[in-house]
Amino acid sequence: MAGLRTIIALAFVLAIGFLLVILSCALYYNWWPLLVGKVIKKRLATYVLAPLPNALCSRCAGQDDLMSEYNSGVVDAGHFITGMFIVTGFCLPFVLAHAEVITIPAMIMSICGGILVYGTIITYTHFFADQSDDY
Amino acid sequence: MDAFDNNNSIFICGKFQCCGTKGRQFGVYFAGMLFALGWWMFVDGLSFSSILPDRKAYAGFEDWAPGIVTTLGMFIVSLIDKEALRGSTFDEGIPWRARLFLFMGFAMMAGGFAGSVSVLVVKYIMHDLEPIDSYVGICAVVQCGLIMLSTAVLWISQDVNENQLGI
Repeated sequence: MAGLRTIIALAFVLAIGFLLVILSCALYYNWWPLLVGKVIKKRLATYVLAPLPNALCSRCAGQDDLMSEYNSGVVDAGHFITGMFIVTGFCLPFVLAHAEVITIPAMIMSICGGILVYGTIITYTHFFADQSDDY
Repeated sequence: MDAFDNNNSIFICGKFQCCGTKGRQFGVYFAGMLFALGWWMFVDGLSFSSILPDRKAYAGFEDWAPGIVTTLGMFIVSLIDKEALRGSTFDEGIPWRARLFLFMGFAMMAGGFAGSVSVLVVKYIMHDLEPIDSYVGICAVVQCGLIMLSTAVLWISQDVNENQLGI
């Protein structure tokens, strides 16, 4: 069960993750102003978009089959797109670092922040799903 | 009659059925990850080759084409209803047409892979370029391989659950 303490801890972890991502751009702001500014927009968009396909597709699939079959392709499409988003979040800083747009420390900070934010989202969804199963 | 009529998968390693819906979920996630990884690999190759100080080969449309063809083949293969292949429907013509489209999809995937290899050989290796100059070609081959692997993982993970439901 997700206690109050868990939610507060998750909020702290989420804040630290976002702090890392923003710092990875802000600390090197003097060197690559425009490109890193673009990076943060894309990365935040990736985080916000990541849990969306699962939610949308499970809602769409739930309306159709009353037999509670899992055999729906819509749910699979949601999982597929979620997997693509997760890899995109990790590959984007790596590609940018390989092309020498951002530096290696910025890449490491960005990926660490990404792991923290994704972990928070996944843990929160897990607790939330467990709660809704009981009722 | 042929391999589609019995209940086995076309892949040899389709025997494992220990993991139910969780395994299917994980397989589909993994397939999506492999697909995105393939395309990011290609983007990495393009961006890395474009910042080389003295590059001798310029990436054009011929580098993009194998990945696009392989992706189209993957869409065709993934969109086919697996039940239509087994011939369990009433219409006699449906399994035949489904198998034709399946053949087209696999042919496009294999053709894309072969095209990426041929681009690597003809455009990069035969001109005696440095390995760092032919990085785009290597990335295109890896991309096509990863997309094919993603298709295989998707097929297997969708087949596992179907076999379980059929029992």
